[in-house]
Amino acid sequence: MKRTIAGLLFSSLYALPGAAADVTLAVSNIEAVQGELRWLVFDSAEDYAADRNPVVAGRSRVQADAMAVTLHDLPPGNYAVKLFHDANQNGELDTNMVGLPTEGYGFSNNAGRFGPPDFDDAAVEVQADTRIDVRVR
Amino acid sequence: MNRREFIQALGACPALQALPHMALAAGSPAWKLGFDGVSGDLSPLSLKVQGAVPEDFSGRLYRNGPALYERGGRRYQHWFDPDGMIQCYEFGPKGVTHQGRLVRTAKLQQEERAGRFLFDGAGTHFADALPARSNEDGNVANISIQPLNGELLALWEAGSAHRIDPQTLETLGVKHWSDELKGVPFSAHPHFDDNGDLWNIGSVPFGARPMLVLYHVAKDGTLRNARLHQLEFPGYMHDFVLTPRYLVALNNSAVLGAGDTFVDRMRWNPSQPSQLLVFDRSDLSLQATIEVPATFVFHFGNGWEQGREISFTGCAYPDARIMSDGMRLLAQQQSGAYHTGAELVRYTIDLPARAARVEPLGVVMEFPGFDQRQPFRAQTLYGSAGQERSESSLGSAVVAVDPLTGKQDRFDYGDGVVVEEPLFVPGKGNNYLVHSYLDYRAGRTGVALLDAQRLASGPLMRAEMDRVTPLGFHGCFLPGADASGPNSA
Repeated sequence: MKRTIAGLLFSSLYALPGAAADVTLAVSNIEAVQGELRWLVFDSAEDYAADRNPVVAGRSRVQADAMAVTLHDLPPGNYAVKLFHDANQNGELDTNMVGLPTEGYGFSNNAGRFGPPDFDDAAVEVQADTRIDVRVR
Repeated sequence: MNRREFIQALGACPALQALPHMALAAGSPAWKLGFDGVSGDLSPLSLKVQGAVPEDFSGRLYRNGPALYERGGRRYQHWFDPDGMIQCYEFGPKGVTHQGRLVRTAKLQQEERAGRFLFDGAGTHFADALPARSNEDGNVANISIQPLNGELLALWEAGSAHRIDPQTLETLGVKHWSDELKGVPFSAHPHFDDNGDLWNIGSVPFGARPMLVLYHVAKDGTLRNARLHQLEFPGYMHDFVLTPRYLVALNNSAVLGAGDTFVDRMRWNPSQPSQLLVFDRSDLSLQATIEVPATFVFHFGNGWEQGREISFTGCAYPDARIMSDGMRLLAQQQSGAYHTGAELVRYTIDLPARAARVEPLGVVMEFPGFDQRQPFRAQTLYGSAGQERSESSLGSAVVAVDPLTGKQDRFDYGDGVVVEEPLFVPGKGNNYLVHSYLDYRAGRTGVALLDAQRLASGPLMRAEMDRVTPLGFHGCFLPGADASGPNSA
C-alpha cells in the first residue's frame, strides 16, 4: 500500500465522487501501549457477520494510546470496520471464562451497546476521503 | 446556585446542613436526604456518644453502599447505580469515629477525568453513554465489603471485587483470582464456611447463554476451584446459601429480556417458576434443580442440614417491584407505593425427593444476618424490620427471629429513622447487634449498639454525627482495638 509520488501529487483528485478514496481509521482509548492493533474492513453484511472476505485486513504495532491508520484506494461503497487490540499478540481477541472480551475492541460508528453491532449500524459511506473514529472499548 | 451547591457551600458549617434540607424539602419526602449522595470522600469525624461503648466492644464496622449520585449535572435514577463508598465506624477507647472513602474503580477514575458519567448505570441510561467492553466497565463496587486474608473486598455483583486496605480504606486494585476469571462477575454475598474458606457465585444472565459461576477460595485468598454452569433461564441471582455439604442458589423469576438498562431488562415473570439449584461443595457439580413458586429473593439467612433435609431462610418478595420500582423511586427521592415488603420464609429441601417446602415465618424483614461463628446451625436471624409501615419502605426496627418458630424480639426506633443492616458481634459476656442508621428528621447519621439477647430494651449506646451519609447496603465488623485505625489518621 505504499503511495507513489504521483499518487501524492494527485491525491486531491481522489476526493472526487466515484473515485477510489483513502479511509483513515482514527483509533483512540487504547488501554496499554503494547502489542498490535488488528483491523478488518467489510463491504457486505454477510461477510461482516461471518468474519470472512474482508476488503482490507491489517495490523499495526501499538506505539501510543491513539493512532491513525490510513487505508488507501477503497472504491466508493459502504464499509464496516471491526478492530481489536491484540495486547499479548496471540492473534485473538482474548475472552474470560464466560466469553466476555478481556482485550479492547471497537467498531466503526462506535456502534453496538450490548455486544457487536449489525453491519448497518457500523457501516460508513465512503465516497471521498473519509475519517472513521473508533474508540476502543 | 442550585440547592446542592448551596448545601455544599455550607459544608464548612456542618450543623447547618440539616436546615436547608428540611426547609427546601417541601413536597419531597423527609427521608430523601439519605439519597442525596456525596461528591467526594468524607473526612474523619468524631461522633457524639449517648450511653457508653461497652468495654468488651471495640473494632470497626465497615459498610459499602451507593454514594456518588451526580456528576456533570446529571443524576443516577436507581439505587444500584451510584459509585460505591466504604464507610468505617471505629469503636475504641476514644469513642466512635467515622469516615468515608469512595472506591477508586477504573470507572470512577475515568469519569472523574471526563467530568461526566461515561457509562450507563445498572438502572440508568444516558443517551451519550459510551459502549462498554463488558460488564466490568460499569463496575461501581457498591454493594458490600467483606474481609479476606487481611484485606477487604469491596463487592459488586456483575464484575470483579476490588481490594481495599482496612487501615486506610484506599483502593489497592482489582482482585485477580485467575486469568480466565478476569472480569467475571463475583457476587456481593460471599459466604464463609467453618474453616474460613470463602464461597461465592457469579451471575452471568447477560451472556449469549445464561450462566452461573461458582467460586471456592481458600482462607489465604487463593482460588481452590471455579466452575461454570449453564442456567435454564436468565433469572436474577444476588445471594445464595452455604450448608456443610451444599451450595444452594435460587434462580429468581425476574428474567432478563429486552430493554435499555439491566434493571429494565430484568422483568418479573410470574409464569416462570423459580429454581433452587443445589450444588455439591466438593466439586461444585449440580446435584438437583428444584422448582418453587415464582419468587424474588435478594438475601438468604444461613443454612443447616438435618438427615436428608437442607434448610435455610430467605427474605422473599412476592414480585420484583423492589428492584424495578422501589429502588428507583428511592434514588429519585420520590414518595410512592413502592412494593410489598419481603417476608421471611423457611425453605426445606428434601434432596432425595427433589422437593422443597416454603413456609412463611410471619415477619417482614430484610438484611438478614447471623452469628458467623456457627454458620451451619439453625440459629437466630437478625435483620431490619418495619418496612411495611415506614414512610420510606425501608426498615425502622431491628428484629431477631427464631427460624424454627418465628418467635421475635424487636426494637422499633419509630418514624424518622432508617435502620441499616444490623450485624451480630460476639462479646466476652454479652453478644451485640451493631447497626448504622439515619435519623432523617434530625438530619444525622449514627450508629447504635444493642444487646443481641434483649433487643426490645433498646440501644445500649447511640453515637451520631452532624452529617448525613448515603444509605447503603452491606458490611462487616472486624473486632479489635487498634490505635492506628483509618479514622485516627
